[in-house]
Amino acid sequence: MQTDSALLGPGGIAFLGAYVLSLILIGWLGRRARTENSLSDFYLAGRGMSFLVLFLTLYATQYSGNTLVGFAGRAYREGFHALVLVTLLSGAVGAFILYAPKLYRLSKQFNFITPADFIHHRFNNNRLTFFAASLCLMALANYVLTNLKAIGYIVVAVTGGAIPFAYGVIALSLVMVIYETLGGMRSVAWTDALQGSILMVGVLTIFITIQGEYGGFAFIYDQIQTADPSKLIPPTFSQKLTWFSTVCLGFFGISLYPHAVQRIYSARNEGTLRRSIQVMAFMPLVTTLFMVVVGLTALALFPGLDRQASEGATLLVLKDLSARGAIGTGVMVLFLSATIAAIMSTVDSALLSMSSIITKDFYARIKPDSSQAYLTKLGKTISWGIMALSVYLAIALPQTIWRLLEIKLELLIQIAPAFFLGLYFKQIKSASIFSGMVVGTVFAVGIMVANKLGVDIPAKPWGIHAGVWGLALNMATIFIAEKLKKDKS
Amino acid sequence: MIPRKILLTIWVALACTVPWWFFDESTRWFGLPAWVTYAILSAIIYSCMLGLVIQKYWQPEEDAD
Repeated sequence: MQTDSALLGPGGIAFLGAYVLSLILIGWLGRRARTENSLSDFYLAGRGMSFLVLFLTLYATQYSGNTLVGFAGRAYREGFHALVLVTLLSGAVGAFILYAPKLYRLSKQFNFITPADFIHHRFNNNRLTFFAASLCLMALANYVLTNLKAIGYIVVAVTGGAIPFAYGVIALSLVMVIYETLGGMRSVAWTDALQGSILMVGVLTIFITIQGEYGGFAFIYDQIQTADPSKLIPPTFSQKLTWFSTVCLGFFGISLYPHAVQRIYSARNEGTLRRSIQVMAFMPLVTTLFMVVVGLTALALFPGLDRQASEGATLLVLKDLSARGAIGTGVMVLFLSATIAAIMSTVDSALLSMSSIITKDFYARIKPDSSQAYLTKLGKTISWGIMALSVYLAIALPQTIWRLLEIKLELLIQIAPAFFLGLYFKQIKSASIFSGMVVGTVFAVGIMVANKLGVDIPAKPWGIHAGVWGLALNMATIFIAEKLKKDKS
Repeated sequence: MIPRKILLTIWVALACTVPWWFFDESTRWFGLPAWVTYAILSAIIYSCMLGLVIQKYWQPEEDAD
């Protein structure tokens, strides 16, 4: 795991360390601002998030380390086809517009804490609630694990291996779980606000520097045309279907990440939520698009890298800018802080969401007489348990299992009909939604797992993701079940 | 909010962000292959459209009261 050279010197590493430790202070301030010892206060910051905090926590949560590192790598490999990533994130905002206003009003009226609270309120079916909560939990677990692994690699790269992978994962996880259990959602949102600001400044800085130093799209186009003109060819029909299918995943999947839904519940009022989502509509343009440009710049500068090397596209561009004297250590520290911030803000939010799902959707439903104070305490204990297990798995899980963890949105997308149809179609029954969810999940997971285990089944039959096929089957099952019920009656 | 009208608008616009109508890279718009410029412009237009839809159709209940 030892790398040749550290990305930062002792001063930079000390600054990063101080930044990470300052998050615990913010967590402590979040605890001091606590108004009551209840689930609503712990998991939803007392439903009192202001516009700026809500917007920044939505932003920091939605854009993970994958945006800064993975998206640039994908742009390097796929060329301009990676522009689909911009609409992937925009699609999620489009879905918010459709369900957030009504869901927010219901959450205020009926005190929802988790996404499954809405499903239980609407359909009153324990099997459906548990199944939907389990899907949320699995998607979040995958999310936490992959991001923890990414954090370990970044610590190794930053310190040149002076801090080994396992120690990096353990140390940063410890910081996250401490500030999370100190103040719950309030601490997480406040740290997200800081992390979101760093993320935004980091992305803008690297984008503007690239424009000034290399010359933007004109430079990228000229270089790619010379080095790898195949990256300029428009998508084939099958690739266009994949493009559309990716956008569907964003619309029905990313928008329903449990931690995103819980931020909708946390808004101080509807006007605050509306303004936050309105600004979020423009974030793919100044974050995802900018990171795609970074990846394309890396392709223009360093053509011919293999898949693994292309994952470091952003760092290659940063190193080149540093060698040219275009950026100093400060920008390097800023960008690496932004990357760590992006990962931490995603992991802490997902961890809090998992803890709330286990506490509220499983434990509190089995033992409904438990007090709010007891459930809050239990939730904190669960957070430590989840984090300990995640850290162990992030360090010890074999590579073959990691391939299966890529299944996230394919699972989550199956709860979409319960939200979209449940909110707007009063006549739809729980049995139909449950049948659809089971059929869609079994189909999507079956295809994905078979593909990853080497069976000759494409992960995207005819260019469409298995999860989107699963969703189509899910909807068809609901339609058929409802029709049969109508005919019977 | 008028979900059906908004649903249609949002989905048609989202589907239009896919560069369906481009088959070769020789046509250039603003110095880039036409399909690239189209993908970037349509993403920008889609974001602006979402902002406008929120502004026009999402009337917070406390404001409406």
